[in-house]
Amino acid sequence: MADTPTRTAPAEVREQEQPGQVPDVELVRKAQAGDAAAFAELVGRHQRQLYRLALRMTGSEADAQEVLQEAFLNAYQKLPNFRGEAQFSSWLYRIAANSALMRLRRKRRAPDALTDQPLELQGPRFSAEGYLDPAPLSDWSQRADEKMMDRELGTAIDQAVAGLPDDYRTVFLLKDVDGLSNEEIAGALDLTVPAVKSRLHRARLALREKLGEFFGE
Amino acid sequence: MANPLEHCADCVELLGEYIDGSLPPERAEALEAHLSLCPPCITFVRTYKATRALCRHKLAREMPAELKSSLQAFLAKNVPGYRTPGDGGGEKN
Ligand SMILES: [Zn+2]
Repeated sequence: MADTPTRTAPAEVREQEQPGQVPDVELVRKAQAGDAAAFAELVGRHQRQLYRLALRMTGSEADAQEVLQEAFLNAYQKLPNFRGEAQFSSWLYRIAANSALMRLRRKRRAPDALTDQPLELQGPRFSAEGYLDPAPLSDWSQRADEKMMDRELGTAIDQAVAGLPDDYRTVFLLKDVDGLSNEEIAGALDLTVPAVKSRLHRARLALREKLGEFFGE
Repeated sequence: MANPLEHCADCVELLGEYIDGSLPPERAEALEAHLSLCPPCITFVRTYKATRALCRHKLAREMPAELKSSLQAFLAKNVPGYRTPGDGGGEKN
């Protein structure tokens, strides 16, 4: 009866290291020895996820472009210091995240990620006995598929996601839309993995409430 | 079969890890046992998953082609010896 668990990352958005490919570590070693083609290969592998990270953190296409340039150039310059203790991708994400944060600070639009303020995010309610109360009235997931292309639903999604606090939104987008792993997100945003999981879950609960309202739950 | 979780609140609390597949098997079993007894939670799980699917569909972004070429041009200018990988290089699709 139970829904089967679905695996974390949607396959179509994970295009980094493919089976049978030269592993990142080897390319890093070559790039460290001055092989620019190996570095170019690393760029090709990671640019898309790095773009998404930059886009989600800055919220702007133009900023994402500059963050990406800065991050890859920075990575190239710091490459001799990369010791391979972390995954190359995590190391790269951290560099890009720092660049995005610096950009946000310059714009005085630091995300509330670092302030850790308590938040009133909507979620389900429970009776004193711990049962869902009110119980969900309708299973609108049945209608979700047909509504995929609906413009009003699209607007409702945009608004619901925009209404999340910055760090909740970033975690949610990176994980559920872009398919980064909890560990990658934790590394990039300087959070613990449990903090990533908790923000993700609370963001999903809040979004579920909003979409439920849209579907007239 | 594990004892079912007693409360919907516990079920909802574990849902994130459950649908990500990271819940330890015995906790997942206890959650599923609760679901088999609790239609409201089944609806909750379905709409929780639908939320994710809808958002992914609406908000997924591909890196624009212009951005790829401007990045390549930037790196070619700033990294000695850098050359854009030719066709059949690093990238799929
Ligand atoms: Zn229940």
